[in-house]
Amino acid sequence: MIWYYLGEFVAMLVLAALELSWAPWLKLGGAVAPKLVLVAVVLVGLFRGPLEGAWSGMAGALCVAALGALPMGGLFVAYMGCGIFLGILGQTIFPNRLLLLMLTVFLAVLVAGIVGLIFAPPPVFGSWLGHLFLEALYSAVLTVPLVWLARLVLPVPAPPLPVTMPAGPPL
Amino acid sequence: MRQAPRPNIRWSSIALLGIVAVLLTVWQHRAESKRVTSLPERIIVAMGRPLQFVFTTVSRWPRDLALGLVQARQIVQENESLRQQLAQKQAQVTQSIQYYLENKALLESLGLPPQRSQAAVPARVIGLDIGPRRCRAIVQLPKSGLAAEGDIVTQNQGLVGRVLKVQGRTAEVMLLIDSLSAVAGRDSRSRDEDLGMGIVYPQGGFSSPAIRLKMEKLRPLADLREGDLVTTSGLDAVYPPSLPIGTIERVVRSPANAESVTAIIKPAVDFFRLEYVYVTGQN
Repeated sequence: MIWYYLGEFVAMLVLAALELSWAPWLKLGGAVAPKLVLVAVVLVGLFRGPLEGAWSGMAGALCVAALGALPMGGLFVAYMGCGIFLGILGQTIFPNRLLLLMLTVFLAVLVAGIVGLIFAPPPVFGSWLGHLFLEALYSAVLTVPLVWLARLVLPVPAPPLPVTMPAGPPL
Repeated sequence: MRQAPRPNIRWSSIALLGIVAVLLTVWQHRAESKRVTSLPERIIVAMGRPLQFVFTTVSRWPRDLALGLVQARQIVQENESLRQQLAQKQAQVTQSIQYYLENKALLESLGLPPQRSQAAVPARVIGLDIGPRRCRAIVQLPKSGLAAEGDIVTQNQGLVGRVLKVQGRTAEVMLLIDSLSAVAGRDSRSRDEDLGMGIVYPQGGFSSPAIRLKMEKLRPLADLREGDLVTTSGLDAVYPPSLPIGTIERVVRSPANAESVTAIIKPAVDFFRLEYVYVTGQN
């Protein structure tokens, strides 16, 4: 089990390094890079559960904060919160629909941005909002290859049992 | 009828992770107050920076390849022109060395101490984080290069920013367009030094063509014109004087307040295309 958590940490480190050195020619408008770490946290939360989501959120926030020289507090709240919440949600809604996953990532990036807004308000609100929207959109688009990768790497749990089950045949 | 099993959530483990997160945050804040980096951050940076270096290098290959294919003929011509320029520069360097030796001999004969100039260390940009709030770059210095907090970062075109934090061979640079950045600037054409001086701040906005700086705290009679070069004045004791910041794009005089004059500046440096910079020591 420890190897799983260690592997997840390494994956978060690689994704954080990739996110923070995203090629300028791949950035939207030359400035907007996708939130790869947050996408990974969302996927781990949905596919694996709340504890794994919380761990990936913590590892991801730590790596992004350390490599990007950012304050940790807001990142921990946003990333771990997303991991735990989507972990709980993933146990009741089986995360199999790609469009639903993209929508979830889009919303998660928006929520993480709003949490960041509470911890450190931006100087120009309109500019921040536009930036956040583009970030969410870009991250949602990049969910497709990451989902494909996650399905290869992460063992996806079996779909949960239906709420009601038909009664057995009449005796 | 059978009820679905309730999700098995290990809240105690999640709470433990939460406590670890709080402890890490406190550790970071304490380290920040002492102007150092916390141990977990240092470990992650030591592991992550080589990865960033690899990603930055690899991500340039497709772009360079595509550019090479599209502009092959132009590149050959440019290459030829650069070869000629290089030969001229080499001749200039030889001449400069002669001047230097003459100058040194003259100083020695006059009994004056030799002049020391600050050498600029070239550094490679391995991370660029440009957002509406924070605009930072991570640069990697060569093996022989050293940087210190407060060092000036420039490009051939002009001022880029200054070093905020150094860790090993990498340094975090606060760019001029960071929301916390402020530089004492002056209009280089203005003859009256007092009238042409102001403070240069980022204007806000994040998209490449729209990124602008603004010079405020200007005198109402300031003689500013479109196209004027704005340089550092050196009055802030942070940046040395005469480093190009940008050119004035337009001058805004408030109709409500005659005292309020703002110059909108187009930065000399393209912050979205930073690849290599020079780091110059302050002391």
